Amino acid sequence: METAWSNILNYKNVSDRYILTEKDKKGAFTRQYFEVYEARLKELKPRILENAEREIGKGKFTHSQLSDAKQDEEIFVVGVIVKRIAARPSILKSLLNEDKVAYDDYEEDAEEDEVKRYAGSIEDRIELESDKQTVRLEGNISMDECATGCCVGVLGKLGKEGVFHVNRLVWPSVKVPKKVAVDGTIAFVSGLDLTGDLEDDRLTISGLEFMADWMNVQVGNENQCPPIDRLVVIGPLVETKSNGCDVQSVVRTLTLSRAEKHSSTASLITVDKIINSIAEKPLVNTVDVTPGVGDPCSSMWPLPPIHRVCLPRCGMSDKKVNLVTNPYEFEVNGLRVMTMSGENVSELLRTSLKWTGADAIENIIKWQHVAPNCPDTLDAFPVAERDPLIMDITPHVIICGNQPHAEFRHIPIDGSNCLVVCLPKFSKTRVACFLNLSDLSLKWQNFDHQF
Amino acid sequence: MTSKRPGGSSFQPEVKRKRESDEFEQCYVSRFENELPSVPTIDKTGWARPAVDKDLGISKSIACQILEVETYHEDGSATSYDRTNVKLYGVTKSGNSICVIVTDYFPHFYFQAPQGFGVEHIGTAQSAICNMVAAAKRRGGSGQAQLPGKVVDNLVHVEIVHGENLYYFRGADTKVPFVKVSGSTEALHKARMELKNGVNLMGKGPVNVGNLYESNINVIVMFLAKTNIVGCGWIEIPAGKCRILSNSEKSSRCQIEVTVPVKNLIVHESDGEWAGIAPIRTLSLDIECIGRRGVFPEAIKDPIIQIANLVKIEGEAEPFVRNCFVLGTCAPVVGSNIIQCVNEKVLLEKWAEFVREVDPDIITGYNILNFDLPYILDRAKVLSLPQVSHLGRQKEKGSVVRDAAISSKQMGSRVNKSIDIHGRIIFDVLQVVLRDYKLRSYTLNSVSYQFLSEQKEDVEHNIIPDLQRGDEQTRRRLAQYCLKDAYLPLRLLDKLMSIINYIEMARVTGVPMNFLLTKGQQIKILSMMLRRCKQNNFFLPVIEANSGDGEGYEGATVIDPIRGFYNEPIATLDFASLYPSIMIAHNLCYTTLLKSPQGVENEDYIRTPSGQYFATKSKRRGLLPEILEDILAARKRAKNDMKNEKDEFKRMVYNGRQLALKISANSVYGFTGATVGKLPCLEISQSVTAFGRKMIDMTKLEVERIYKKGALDGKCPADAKVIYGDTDSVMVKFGVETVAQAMEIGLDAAKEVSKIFTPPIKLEFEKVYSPYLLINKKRYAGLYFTKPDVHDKMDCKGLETVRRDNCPLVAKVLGVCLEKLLIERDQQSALDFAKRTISDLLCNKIDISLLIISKELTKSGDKYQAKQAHVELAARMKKRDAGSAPRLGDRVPYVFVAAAKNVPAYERAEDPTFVLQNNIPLDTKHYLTNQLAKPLARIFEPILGDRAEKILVEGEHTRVRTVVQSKVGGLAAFTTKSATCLGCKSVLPRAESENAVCKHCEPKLPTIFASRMNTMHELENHFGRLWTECQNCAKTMQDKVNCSARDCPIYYMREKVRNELSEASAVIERFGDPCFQAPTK
Repeated sequence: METAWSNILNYKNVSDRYILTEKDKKGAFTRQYFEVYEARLKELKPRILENAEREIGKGKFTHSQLSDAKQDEEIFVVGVIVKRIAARPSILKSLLNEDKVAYDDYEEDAEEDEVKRYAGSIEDRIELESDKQTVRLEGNISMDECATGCCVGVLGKLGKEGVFHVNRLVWPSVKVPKKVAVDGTIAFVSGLDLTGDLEDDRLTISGLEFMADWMNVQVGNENQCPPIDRLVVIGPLVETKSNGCDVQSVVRTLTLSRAEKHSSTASLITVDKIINSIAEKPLVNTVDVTPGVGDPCSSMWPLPPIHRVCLPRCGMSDKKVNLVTNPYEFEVNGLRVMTMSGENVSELLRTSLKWTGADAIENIIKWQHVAPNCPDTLDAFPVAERDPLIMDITPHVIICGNQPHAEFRHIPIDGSNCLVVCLPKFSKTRVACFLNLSDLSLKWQNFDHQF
Repeated sequence: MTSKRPGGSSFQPEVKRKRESDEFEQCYVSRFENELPSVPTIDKTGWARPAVDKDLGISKSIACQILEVETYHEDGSATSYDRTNVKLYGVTKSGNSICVIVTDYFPHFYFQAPQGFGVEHIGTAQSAICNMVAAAKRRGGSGQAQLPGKVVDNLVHVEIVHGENLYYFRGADTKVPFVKVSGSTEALHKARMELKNGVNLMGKGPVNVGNLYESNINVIVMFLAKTNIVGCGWIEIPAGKCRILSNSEKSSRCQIEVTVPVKNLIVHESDGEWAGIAPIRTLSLDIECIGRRGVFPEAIKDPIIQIANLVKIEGEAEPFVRNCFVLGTCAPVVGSNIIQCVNEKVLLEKWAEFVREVDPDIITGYNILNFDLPYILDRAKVLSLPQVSHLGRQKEKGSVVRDAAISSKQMGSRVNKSIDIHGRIIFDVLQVVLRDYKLRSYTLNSVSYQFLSEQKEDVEHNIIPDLQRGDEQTRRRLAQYCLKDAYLPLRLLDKLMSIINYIEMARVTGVPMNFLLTKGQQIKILSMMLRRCKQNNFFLPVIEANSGDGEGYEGATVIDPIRGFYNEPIATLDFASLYPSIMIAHNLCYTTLLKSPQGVENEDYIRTPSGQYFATKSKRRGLLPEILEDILAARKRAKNDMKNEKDEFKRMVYNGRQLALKISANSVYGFTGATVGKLPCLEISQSVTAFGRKMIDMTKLEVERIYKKGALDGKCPADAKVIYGDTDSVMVKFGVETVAQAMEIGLDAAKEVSKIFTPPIKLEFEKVYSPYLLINKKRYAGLYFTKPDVHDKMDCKGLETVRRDNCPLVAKVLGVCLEKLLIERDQQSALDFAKRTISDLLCNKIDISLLIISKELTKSGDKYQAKQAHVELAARMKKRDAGSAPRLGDRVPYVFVAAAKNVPAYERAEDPTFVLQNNIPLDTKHYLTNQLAKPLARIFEPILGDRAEKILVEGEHTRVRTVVQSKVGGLAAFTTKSATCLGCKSVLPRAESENAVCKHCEPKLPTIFASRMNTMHELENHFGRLWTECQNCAKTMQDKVNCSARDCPIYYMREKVRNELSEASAVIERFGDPCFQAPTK
């Protein structure tokens, strides 16, 4: 008596802003990245001013440009944050230390679960760039509340030698749609990291099969799986050594130590089989596939969907596989959910000794930008006149994949709140997350086989 | 018919003149009279020096550090006589500028007293010389037709002193009478000329005095030696001992000006409290000028549009003044003052006022000596602005530019400008780097990258006119560049500790800092010699410059290398301070030199291996050995002081001192060997090198004699073998297996072999090479160990790693191969790497930045002997676009592109940017055969033997080549574009041209896509990292990066990735829309 569920959610993909238009693509690589920051500031500045009027009071502050600032006069300036961190990876510094390239390889091989944080330095400082002027920010601002690329309003005074003393920070205003009651369950997994080598992939494949079987069992028992309305598979599906900000590839090209490329065809075949076998289960409605950096699609944020030619079996299935962007935003009966593959968060974590993944995402909500460190330390598509990664609307749920630890938090926002979830790699933990849409509760389920 | 018409010939010039005028209109600056006042608003905060303590010089002594010295002539009068006064410019501890005018100083020279000359003849001699000088003065047409009697009687002063000629040993205590003639510089000069003709010294008729002594010594060096003042040393004037000049009396712009008799000066040795450095002000500047298209800026035509300035106090971290004088309106730059000038005249005049007011002690910048400062001064002359040249501390004296050719072993032959800015030192960072460092490139960009790990945006010169003609924002952008170009020299000086090091060198040698920057090595040694001679009553003879290099002496020898790759420890035994030690040990000096042996050999004299004779230590201690002993002792003290000092800045001062002392000790030998010098003495230099050669040979014999198999209680596993020896070191294979063993035996060897030499000659063990690649004389590479466990570094000598006339690929390939040979000890891996790189080169996978050669365009083509690649290329580029073509003085980067056979190399040179934009194929074979082959063969020959080059150039790895399709050129015009299969590259039928692959490749579609996507990933990563690197370098996220720094390692790669990524992206588009059809719900 296997039949599709009748309770199909009212689904809508709202990821249009992440899809590159013809205008975005035309002449893209003749551009420079300053246009991204210009677009970002242009979109967020009105929201910052709006919030400033709310928080400081209308008419209670003087909004002006840095170039018009007089010394020791309190003004309100809107600009882009730049954190000058000495340990930030740099091609030019790496080239000067060519003899250390070999040692860097060692460190990469000894990869840890934890994100490697940059060592702090006495030279590190925070700068604000506004209307092409740059000042150093001191006072009521710390390294742990901002990131390069985020837009902020600063209330304070200009001191000597290009130093701006901060009294108060104002971030962009936040818009959260009203939440409505919905029913249903959505499952999330991230980081399959398939290699194409059966031995290496054994745990991941068996875990996925276990999960698929479990989702299709109908018998009533105490560990019964609830009806699954969607499964979201967050990339990278294919194992990759790249993290979106690796300068070593450039350095190796210039120092003649270029590594041989490896093909990922075998892993693609495995991915195709796995996704298709899950999608073919009768009780699974839809499998959304959203890529990570290293998957067979562009590696510049925002990432386009994985190309269908890589998944020929899925193409022959019953149209249940949905290829989507990264970040990926969708609505189900008015509940707005965003997923991301997590490189943006991992890169942010490098710049703070203090943050956890949830902290970083909380900041992302505050900054109203999904990846402010794009393009500085995260490869970005060179768009102009718009910044697709700005948060127009803040979702009710944010799922971030490929994080070191499982973690969740309710972030209060203006009388409402946003559920933030950090999802570890399935390839390392075999852990999937099941989101109950009615009360936004989470069920973490481990699919390790007991051999 | 037209040419015959009257007036026809006048038509052409009018047209031509108009066109020139149009071009000038384009080039020159806009007018700003409507936007700016004629006098700019200037914030002078922080410019002035601290106020002067009113008690200074009256009830408090004046202590100051002396930075500059100059002399001037003061004419006598009815009540006074001619003088040569000395001006000392310096800074007090409080930071006040001061000019100390020292009076009652009289330079001198000597000649040996004629036979029979006695005390009773002094009056006669003095009268005779004075009258001769007076007559010469009158003949010379100097102002006074009739000199006052008092002046005539005191033109010179004569006295008898006892001393000795510096050259040759004539027995101990053989001082003889000399006549000392003192007077003003002018008088002495005339006296010197007249004495050649004979003088009636004793009232018995003219006497020829023969040789003169010390009459050719620089007057400043003489003054400093006489008073014991050293360059950058401290002097003190006791309270009440000087006359303080009022503002109306002052001739200088210094805050304090005093006159003081020379005898009242207190001179401090640079120790303790007086080792410190006064708060010296350094001004760093950079100018931007607007050039006509295709022409390097010329002061006679092209205006200055910006001058950026930063002023810093030595010992402080940051500049306290940052400003930029801008022609036209300019938006503010936070942290700096923008001074907007309505026209160039105002800009230059206000800038000169700024310089006078901020009153720097040192003026620095990058290439300011040969460009910025001469340009400003020439420009001021063109615009008839005489006050602009008054940049120095003398009120009435302008600065003048002259050409000065300087030749020294250290710097080669070079023509620099010479600029006198009275009382201020020009400390050009480019000159310092050229003198002290050996680099591949000396652009400010390259030097900043090397020493500061920092790049800067470089502005193409043809963009500058656009920025100037734009608006206040574009001029602001230019101001930021200008300020950065002024800031980096200060950073470099801090990083390299140049100012501290030069101060300490000035102190050690006694010469003013300016001499270190503008003169060769000799004057330093001469200064030290003069001070020592004064103490011992030796006189330096005048020796006419003998440019005829007679008998060239034999240079340092080498022990022929036993070439090979030694995969075992090689110990190095070095002589410590070899040449100074030899001079000390064997008492080699001018004062000990014998023309023939006297007495008993080895007791009264020695015979050197080159056949010279010198008196032994027991007969006379030589001056040079004493100087060297003092230098080495002072260095030891300085090192000890450095170790004990807590203050970081003071520690750097002491470190600068010990380095200065080391360099000075090693310069003494060179001083004697200079045939075109003040005191040439080839007998000394020949003897030194001869001893050196002999000692190397003796070391070899002794090491091989002592350390035979079984020696040292069996610790020697084999007979020791010396495999190479050079000037001051010997390399020994002891046959041991570990570095620790080699170190143990090496230490013992150094101690034992030292015993056969005369102290202080000492053989030291310092390092082990393991492994060691000995290629040839003065060509080797090895891993350098000073401790047994881990190597310090890889040490290379004589390899192509720093040559500037080949492409960077050579240095990198050699570097990696040597790493694999020496660090990884994997010969096969090194060979494989070389082969793979050659294969990559032939397959066009090497980044173009590694293939670029660059040369300076110094003169137009017809002046070179043969056609030069970079000159021909510059001419070609000028035809394409005169505005962006290289100009005289620019460096021209080029690569070799593919061409038909027999096309000469100079026609195959091409601009790398042009190559990238048009996808022109490179001549990769040229790089292999003309650049890579021989350097690689040299390091592999010790391993592979004579067939090394053949293996590398003709092996299997050279069989595969990649062909690049050009977008320009003869055949490109006939090319038709056809869609091809992305899998097998077959041409797709027109009906299927929209597809990505052909029918046969359809089943392999995922594989093909994955392969293309891998390529895309790498390019995307490169694009993102390269362009954000540029943003971080330019330190701007919201403005376009306008950088034309061609010697930046990523300059070309970032442009190349644009094209490659566009192409890869277009390929991916051919696979169609990524998504399946809309999913069901």
